[in-house]
Amino acid sequence: MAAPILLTESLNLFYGNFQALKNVNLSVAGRRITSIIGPSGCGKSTLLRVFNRMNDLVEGARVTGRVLLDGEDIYAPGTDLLSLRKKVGMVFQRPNPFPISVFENILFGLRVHQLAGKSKDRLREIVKESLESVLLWEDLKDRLNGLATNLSLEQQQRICIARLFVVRPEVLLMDEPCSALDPLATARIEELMQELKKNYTIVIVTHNMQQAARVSDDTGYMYLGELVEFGATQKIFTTPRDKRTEDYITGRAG
Amino acid sequence: MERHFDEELKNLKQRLLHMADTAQQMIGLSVRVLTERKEALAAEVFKLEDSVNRMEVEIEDAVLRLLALRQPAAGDLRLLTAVLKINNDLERVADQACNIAETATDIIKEPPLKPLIDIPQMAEVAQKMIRDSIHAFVNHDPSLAGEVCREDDKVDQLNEKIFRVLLTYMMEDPKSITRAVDLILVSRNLERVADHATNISEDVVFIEQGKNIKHHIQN
Repeated sequence: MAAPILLTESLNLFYGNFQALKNVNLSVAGRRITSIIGPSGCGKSTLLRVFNRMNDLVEGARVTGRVLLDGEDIYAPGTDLLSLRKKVGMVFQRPNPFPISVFENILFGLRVHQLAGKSKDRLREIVKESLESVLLWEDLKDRLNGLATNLSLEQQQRICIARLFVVRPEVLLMDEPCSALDPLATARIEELMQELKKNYTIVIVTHNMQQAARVSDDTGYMYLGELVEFGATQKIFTTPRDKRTEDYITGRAG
Repeated sequence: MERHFDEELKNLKQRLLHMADTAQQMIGLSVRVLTERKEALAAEVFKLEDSVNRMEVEIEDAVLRLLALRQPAAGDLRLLTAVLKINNDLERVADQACNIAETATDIIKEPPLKPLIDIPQMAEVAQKMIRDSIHAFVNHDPSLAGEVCREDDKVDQLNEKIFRVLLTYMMEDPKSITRAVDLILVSRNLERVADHATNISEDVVFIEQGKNIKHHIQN
């Protein structure tokens, strides 16, 4: 496996007295798709949110251990959260475009990071590149001023992915990115993920085991806050080591 | 949690067990055509082959259905892919029984060439291997499966020995050639049966431990 982009060392996370993550040691390789599976409440979304410190917004959340992005501890004092979230983008379960135009949705990140100040032509070029990378340009090039919230759910989700690209992230976190989509739209997003992994590292949380099997290179199984097993997706789905993993992916328990 | 799927898998295993039992019985009958010089037993073998062929098709259909509808993973996936292969091996065992019955029917038209000692012994070992490989499958017993794989050497040695002995008969008397070649064919068929038992046992190890031990390749 290539050198890890993301690494957790003895990671524990508490929400008040409740321990949501227990001694998680995970290593995410670059330009691969890593999926995290597990039953509801196992901590998989919490783990995902550790990687861009979204849990900081939860009152009483407390982290011990280390989380390294490109070798740097993102929980070290003085970490610039804005720049962290630029490097580590997130896509959510429900597409959440802003209720503004497609054009401005795409450029939103640039404006936040004060990277705008660019010529109109340059901005249009950025929007084009970004929409092209999610295969939306042809469909939307004449509707850039339309409200993003008026698009189909799949297009909205693609917009949410596209708008991450303008700030040149390294890692894309996806929390159930297809659960609001129909099977065809899901298949198209999955195809898109295969394209995106050429340039980005993707970590996806999913309830859909078949989706994890289809799209990811590596899979981790979480149960009650523990990372029970982690390995090549093929291995996890054919010959898992741990009985708890076996029981979960064969639908016996979990 | 007991799944409805478990019931379906149990049912599939039962059918495979029944098929194994029939195939194994066919080997016994086909060898008796030779040892007891009873041609009528050959007809029974051919009749049983029809039912084995039918079972093969039914089991294959059932596995395909479960693969498509249940999308199995891990142990379930290993079980179903192995059942497909075991199904195939058992059908081939039944074919070998038919070959033996046909050849034996020819052999007993002539006077005996020599007292048969090694072939009945070989048949016994090969049948036991089939039985044990299926027991290992049903009882989740990879160590019994390992024993079956080791028995295969014994059958290979008997096969070679039979060949050597019959070769001397053929050299001494050209009139013995037809019967000797036929006996060599029977011995070869039995050696193949043992090979199929070995395949089944290797599949059992794969189902139980996720290890592929075929051809001594370590993964």
